[in-house]
Amino acid sequence: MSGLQSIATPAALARLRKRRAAERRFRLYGRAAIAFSVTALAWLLFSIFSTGLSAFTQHWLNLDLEVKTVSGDAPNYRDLLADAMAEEFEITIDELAQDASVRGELLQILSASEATAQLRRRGQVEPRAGAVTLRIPASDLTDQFLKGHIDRGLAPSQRPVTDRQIEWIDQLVETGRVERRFNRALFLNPDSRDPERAGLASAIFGSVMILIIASALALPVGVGAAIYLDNFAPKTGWGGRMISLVEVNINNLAAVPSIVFGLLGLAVFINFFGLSRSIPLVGGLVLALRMFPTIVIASRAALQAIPDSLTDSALSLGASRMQAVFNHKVPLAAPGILTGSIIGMAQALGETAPLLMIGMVAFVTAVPASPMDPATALPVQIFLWSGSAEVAWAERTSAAIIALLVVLMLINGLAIMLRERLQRKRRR
Amino acid sequence: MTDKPSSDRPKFTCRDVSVRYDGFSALSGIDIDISDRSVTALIGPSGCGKSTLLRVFNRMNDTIANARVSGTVLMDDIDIYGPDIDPVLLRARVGMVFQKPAPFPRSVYDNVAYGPRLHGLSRSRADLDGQVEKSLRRAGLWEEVKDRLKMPAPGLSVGQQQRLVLARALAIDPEVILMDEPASSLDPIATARLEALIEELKTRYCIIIVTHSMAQAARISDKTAFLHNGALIEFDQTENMFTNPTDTRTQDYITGRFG
Repeated sequence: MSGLQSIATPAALARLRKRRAAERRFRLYGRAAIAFSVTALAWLLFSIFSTGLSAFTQHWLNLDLEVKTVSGDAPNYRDLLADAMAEEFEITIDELAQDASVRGELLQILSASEATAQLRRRGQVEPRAGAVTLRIPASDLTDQFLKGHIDRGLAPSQRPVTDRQIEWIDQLVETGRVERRFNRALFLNPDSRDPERAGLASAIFGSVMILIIASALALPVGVGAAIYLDNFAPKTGWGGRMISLVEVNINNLAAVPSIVFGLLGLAVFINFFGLSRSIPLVGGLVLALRMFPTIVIASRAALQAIPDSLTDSALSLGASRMQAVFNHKVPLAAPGILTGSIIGMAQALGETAPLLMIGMVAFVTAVPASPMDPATALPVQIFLWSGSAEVAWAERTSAAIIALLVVLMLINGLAIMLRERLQRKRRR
Repeated sequence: MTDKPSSDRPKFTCRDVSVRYDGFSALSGIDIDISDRSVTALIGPSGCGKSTLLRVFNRMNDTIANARVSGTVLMDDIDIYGPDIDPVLLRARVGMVFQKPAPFPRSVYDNVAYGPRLHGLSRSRADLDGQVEKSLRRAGLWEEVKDRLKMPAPGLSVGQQQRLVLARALAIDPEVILMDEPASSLDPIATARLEALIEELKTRYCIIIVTHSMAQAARISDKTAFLHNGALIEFDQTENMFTNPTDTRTQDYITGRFG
């Protein structure tokens, strides 16, 4: 009997079949798990993008209005605007007088706050009466209606636009006075109560400032701490015991709920050091504390993965410990350290709870000029918008999420690029 | 055996050297004299303390957190564990080659140039080039890598890597070379090359080598020390040791009855 036949007994074959089946099952589980996560991600992205993409364009109105003469130093621009609009849509004075709600409805189809602001500006340099050309964003209602987010077929009581308003909007569209443009305001404007004027500028600026401050603090301290702990800290005696206590606490710090960091920031930076609420400086300080343990843990893992033989070799050649560590260990661990730092930064960018605690949830209508000015952050802005009532906030919330994702991807892309460059330099 | 001016004066003199790791005694009461310009082999079963003894000579045990060295170690009559001796400077005079070659992930050239650059041994680029070439020649690697000095060192074969780290150690112009089982990851041909090299190098350097192979110790060493359980059992001329060991444990070990 040959060797192979003697191995292939029925019992052995049965065992083999069982092993193969187990492997097949495991493969199946793996595929199912991947399919599940891909589906979940795709679903999430689809729902965000399908709701949010339309927010990147906005309807604008080109209106040629005839503004009547007015007397007095502080004219009521809303009334002037309403009257001019009424004339535009050929509504008689009688109709206006009969139905008090007409003026309100007229003002609802355009961004009334923007239009009155333009009129007021113009009124300061020119006579107030006469022909005016307004290029202004449509109101959020008009915008949503034109984008098809409000169903024309619904009963008038069930939709936020009235029959009259639909008539007017149709008239504007027919005469070619509506255009759809890229929504620059979404990125250039600060927050506003009017969805059509609301933008992410304050939030983006706040997030960027926070991230810069937090990284500038947490990166050098975290990486430095990791290098010290890994290579220089005492390992024996009382010093060693102290160090292991510190290490345990750094690990625990990573598991502390982030709202606690917000509370700490409130108590220390705002109450004790007297810094203002809602400013990116405090946000950055708090998130630096949040990032610190993540960076230390990731950097230590990266450093520990580098074989000691390299530092030993350098030491045996007469390098000091500092030279051995910084010439050989740190450069090799740099890609890992970088990856950990990016994870920390991405976490900080998405952090909401601690920012709520330190008052970065304020309604900020100015683009902050420095880290000492009130600002919000992207995730907080998303949180704020998602709670607002108007239909238009839904797409804007999704658009803000897209913006946050894009910023996140940019940071990750930058990190991957840096890492690749570092590794290529190593390989050469 | 021609130019041995100081063969009577030992390079290293150890008196009552002990090494403890956190309560565990790795070496105890070692008295040994190592001659210059010769090869001294340290043999013994695994865990007998031979690598620890080797690391006594360049104070590499200092880098292990809980290791404590006691006793006197004189190098050229100077106590290398004295308060005014910096281990960093000592290691510039006592080179070491480890069991597994660990080339830095840089070019061949940069590997060899690391030590000279570290200690500022070269005055110019041409000077450094000369030192790199000399070291690679001494390590018997020059002919193989002279056209590939810019290639990454980890791309060399293991045998070449071991000679590269030897060249790296030679580049700082040491007086002593410590080798910790340098041939354990090499194939027989690379081992033979390394042994020929050691034979050549001992005319210039004091070489101390830890080895697992009795045959290797017999082939290359002038004197052999047998360690067992952290104690020096026997230390003699290699021929005497292998032909006429005085201690039964030595006899048992070199005839392969344990270890």
